[in-house]
Amino acid sequence: MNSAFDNRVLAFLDGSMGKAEARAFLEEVRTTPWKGEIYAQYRELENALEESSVPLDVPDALHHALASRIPILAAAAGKQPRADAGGRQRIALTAALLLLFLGISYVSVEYLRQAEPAHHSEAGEDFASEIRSGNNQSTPETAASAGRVRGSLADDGTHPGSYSHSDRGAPDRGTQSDAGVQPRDPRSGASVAAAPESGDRSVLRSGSLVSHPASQEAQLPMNTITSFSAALDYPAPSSLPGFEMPDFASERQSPFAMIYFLGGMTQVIGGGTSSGSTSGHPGVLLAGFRYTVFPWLSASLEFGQSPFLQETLHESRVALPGGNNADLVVIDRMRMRELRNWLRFRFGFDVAELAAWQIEAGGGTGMLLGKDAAIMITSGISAYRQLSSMLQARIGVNFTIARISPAVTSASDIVIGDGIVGIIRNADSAHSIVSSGMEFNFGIGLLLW
Amino acid sequence: MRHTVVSESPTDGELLIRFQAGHEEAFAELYHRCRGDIYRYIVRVLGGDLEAAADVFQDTFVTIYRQAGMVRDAEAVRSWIYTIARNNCLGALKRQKRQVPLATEHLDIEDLQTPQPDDAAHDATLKSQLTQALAQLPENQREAVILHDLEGLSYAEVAGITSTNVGVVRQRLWRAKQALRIALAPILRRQPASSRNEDEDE
Repeated sequence: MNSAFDNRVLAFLDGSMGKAEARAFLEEVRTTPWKGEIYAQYRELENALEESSVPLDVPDALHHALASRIPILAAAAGKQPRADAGGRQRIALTAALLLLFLGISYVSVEYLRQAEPAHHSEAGEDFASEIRSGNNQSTPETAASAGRVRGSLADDGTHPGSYSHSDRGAPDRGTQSDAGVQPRDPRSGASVAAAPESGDRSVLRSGSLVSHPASQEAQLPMNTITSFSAALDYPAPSSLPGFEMPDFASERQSPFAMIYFLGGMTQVIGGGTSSGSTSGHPGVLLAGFRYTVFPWLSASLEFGQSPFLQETLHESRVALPGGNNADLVVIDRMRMRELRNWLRFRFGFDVAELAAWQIEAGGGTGMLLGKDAAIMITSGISAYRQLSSMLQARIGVNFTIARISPAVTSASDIVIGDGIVGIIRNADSAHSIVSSGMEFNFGIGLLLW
Repeated sequence: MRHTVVSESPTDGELLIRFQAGHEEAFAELYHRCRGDIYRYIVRVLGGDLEAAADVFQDTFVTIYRQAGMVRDAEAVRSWIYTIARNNCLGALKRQKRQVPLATEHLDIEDLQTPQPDDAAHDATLKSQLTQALAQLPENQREAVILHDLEGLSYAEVAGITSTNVGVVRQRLWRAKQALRIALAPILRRQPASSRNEDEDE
């Protein structure tokens, strides 16, 4: 079977023959017919072997059976790169970033415009402070004949901490005549109605503004949800006869679904006007169901809760100096933080892969549950990383915005008497405000199928 | 078949490293990349026994999935995968108490491929005869042909998989091809009757 010429042909074909020898070999093959025949036979044999090396497709049933033992194969079937996915990813990322930028810009403007109410309470406190220090010109007796007197607001709007002109003063200016002699704060211009001193001193006399019981803090400490369930490992391989998996081989790719649980912190943008109060849970908690529609597109339904700002009217009592058991009531608007439940729907677009993390940009809309049923809009970027075949680690940052109706639209009537000698009304009503926040979350995702 | 790597795509070794680092999708990509080759190899080694090939195929990738973390030479990942497949094939053959499969009742590998057009009857006949001739080769020679010529592995990779050296692999291949040429001579180009004796002095 073995022959020297056969070996020379094989050496030539596998490239192990030297150049000079190869030239001599080819000349030999060209000039000697029987050697040419043998050489041609080997070439045909080589071609036949090469043509036999066509890849053999793995049957779908076999692939699915294996995917049942190694679930990442099923999960990844929906994540195979597509040739046309790059353009969509760029568009998605651009749209998401643009939405994020517009949202942040809008809220920044809104925040700057609405941040001024924070000075209102300071104005009231300054005013009360001046009253305590003897700057007020009123005497209890001057209003004694007025009986039930309401303080009027005469703020001319020049104070830097004042609300808009439409909110103050005018409706109550007509009551000034009822108030008798009314001291006027030289800075705020708010007039104060005086009432006879009462011996019943049930009011707080802390010497500073007293927060309304319902009010929430303006500062927003960020809490972190630190615990979540332990990671799951992929199940031990096992034979699953008869197990039928979805068809992952189609162009559309079979969808797969997962649930995820996220927790984290929320930085509500925009502060309230009250201080010294505390709030409950300031972070975000959510559970979501995610369905991969296409390898580059997912749809999620999320239920969760996070804080939002809401405007309300705030009443505080300020003790007058001199130990005459006289209080002033300051009515102002404030923002309080309130934990709201919501349901939202969002799309996610795969945009990039960074290290082992899959980056996803997305946005969506939803509704705050209960009360005003406000519409919320959210946009953000999230990332997930496969920890095992069924377990993902997820992190994300979302910008959320919603227009929230006021908690209290108008202040209750406050009656002069029972220690209240005057009322400073800086606002008559609370308004709807735009509440927004940055939500930082992290958690886990579990592949369902 | 020679495995081509697109410049933008990670190599098999890079995928293995990423998988070792916890990125499981890299394993999925590696699987999708080489599953066709491995399945074909297993089917060939098991002589077209598709039922046995399915079991070996699953066991091979489950083993790869479990043991990938122990691979140190990531660049030799393809050889390592073939080694696992080969070992599983040998185990299956041993369990079935068969030395060399490819019995006639089993499906020919060419039957799984694209049907040949009528005008390529000669090629179809050649492939069919080639399959039969391969089955008649000694096991180590047949294995060398499958790994090198059908799976596109280099001599060094075949040597690594079969635990031999490059020289032995080359020798096995040459002997196998000489045997194949003689076996297929009737349907290859006609070989001159006197060629053998005249070449003895070479």
